[in-house]
Amino acid sequence: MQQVNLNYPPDADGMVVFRQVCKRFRGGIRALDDVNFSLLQGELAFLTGHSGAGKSSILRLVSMQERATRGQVLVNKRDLSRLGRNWIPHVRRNMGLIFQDHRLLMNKPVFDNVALPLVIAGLSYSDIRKRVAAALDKVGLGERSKALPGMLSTGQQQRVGIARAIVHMPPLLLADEPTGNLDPELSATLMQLFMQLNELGMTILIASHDLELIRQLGRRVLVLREGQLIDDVPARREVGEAGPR
Amino acid sequence: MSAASPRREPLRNRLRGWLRQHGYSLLYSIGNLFRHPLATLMTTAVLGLALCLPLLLWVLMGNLEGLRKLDTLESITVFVLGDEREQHTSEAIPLHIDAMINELGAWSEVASVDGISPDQGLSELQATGGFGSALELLENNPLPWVLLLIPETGDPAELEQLLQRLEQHPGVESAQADWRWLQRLQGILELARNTLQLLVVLFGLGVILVISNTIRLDIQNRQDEIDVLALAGATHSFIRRPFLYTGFWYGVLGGLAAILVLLLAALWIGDELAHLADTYSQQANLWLPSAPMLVLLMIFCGNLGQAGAYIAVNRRLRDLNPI
Repeated sequence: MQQVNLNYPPDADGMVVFRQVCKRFRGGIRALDDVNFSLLQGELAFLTGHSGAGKSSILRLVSMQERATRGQVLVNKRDLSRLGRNWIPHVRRNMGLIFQDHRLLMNKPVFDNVALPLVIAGLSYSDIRKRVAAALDKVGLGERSKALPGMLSTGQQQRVGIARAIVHMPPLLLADEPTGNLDPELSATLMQLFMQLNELGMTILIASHDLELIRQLGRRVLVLREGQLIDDVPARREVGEAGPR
Repeated sequence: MSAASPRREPLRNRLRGWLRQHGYSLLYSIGNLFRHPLATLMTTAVLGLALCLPLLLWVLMGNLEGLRKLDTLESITVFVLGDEREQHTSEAIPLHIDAMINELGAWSEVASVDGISPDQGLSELQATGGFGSALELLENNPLPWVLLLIPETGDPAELEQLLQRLEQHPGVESAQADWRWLQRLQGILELARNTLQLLVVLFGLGVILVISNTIRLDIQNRQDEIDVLALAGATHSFIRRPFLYTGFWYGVLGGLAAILVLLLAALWIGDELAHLADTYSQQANLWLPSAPMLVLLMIFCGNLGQAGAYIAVNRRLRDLNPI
């Protein structure tokens, strides 16, 4: 296994930069410990590790659902630790979030679910219609815009979640176990979609424990264990033994 | 389709976006009322009943205020001393009565003086007093000459002095001021006004609490949606807005329901009021708030609803970004 220097100073120009980040929850539970990494603009990387290793904590820090106890989290050169609460919506509008449990509004049709970030941005209805149609076409659900999420399969629901995350073409996409409930074939399809989005210039950070899939894609992998970044595998390199078992 | 980089939108675009967001919230709030018609109806009924009490009191006060404008309440009734023979003469005004009308009419505190003969007084009593058959049993008219005096001033202290001066007049048996009754009415009105203010505050708080509770339940039902909106970058204002509109509509509908109750009540008591006014020889004109006033009232109720919604939604928003 090739040794990687994990103490390098993160590139301040990166889209996502973690500098000596620690996160502790109430009761002293340590979620992240001295994590350093930098995700460059236009890069696609995976976060992997066991359950509780800190993958979701990193995504929650980037999306400002949590604040670091110590250290700096920079997104697009903006230090999140110094941003007030009022800035949270503005930060989130420039990213897309994909959740394992989809977080769809079950009483609203697919169109309304996907349109949500555009409505928040105050776009006109004609713009919304065009962009939602494009996003749904991209995930292969162009014909299901009027369906309620409950009428769709789990895989289709996940794709609706992805369409909602990308409909406003954010510069940064965060995905938390996006293939967690999907079969291998559908997982591979979704990963291809992420690759396509990445080719369009979107920076993507995916938390996943699907090692097989990660290996196949051969992209950069950040390996976490017990809140520490123990390996940073560059693109086209095999994940080391320290990875999840 | 390529990844957008964050940039600041021009002011015009942002303003357009803001207006579209308001349009979205407005339509959403109206749709929300229609999606739950029974809940909307129940809330409206509760608010209507809560609001109609202060509204009815307001209208009642408006009508009582009108009583102050009655001429008879601003006059002083002077009962004149005189002999039997002169008192029963209705053909012409006796000399000493005529002299007294001229004398009192010249006083600076007096605006005008009118004489009412005993026969005139008797026929008025028969017409309005309800003593028709009893008065027919009388052999003679027992009523004296009466002078109806309209004072120049409305000041209670000056009126009191005028009354004393009249009672000291040698030709006057007694002087009775109807404005004393008016003073009592004013006291009652003042009390009613203070009660109305208290009721407006109490029922206003009631409306705020009812709407706040209704919106709180709505928020609980839409908890997931609020979380998703926040994660998608919605500001607190954006999340709050549909609930504020919903609160506003609840208030407006409640105000409308209260006005309907008021109009029904006016129809119900209209005949009784006309009969009562007739006994005072007055035209029955039930005072009702004007249309612009009712519109303002509904807007005020809508604002109360907004206040209730604001309280409910702010409690939820405080928990939304715990960081």
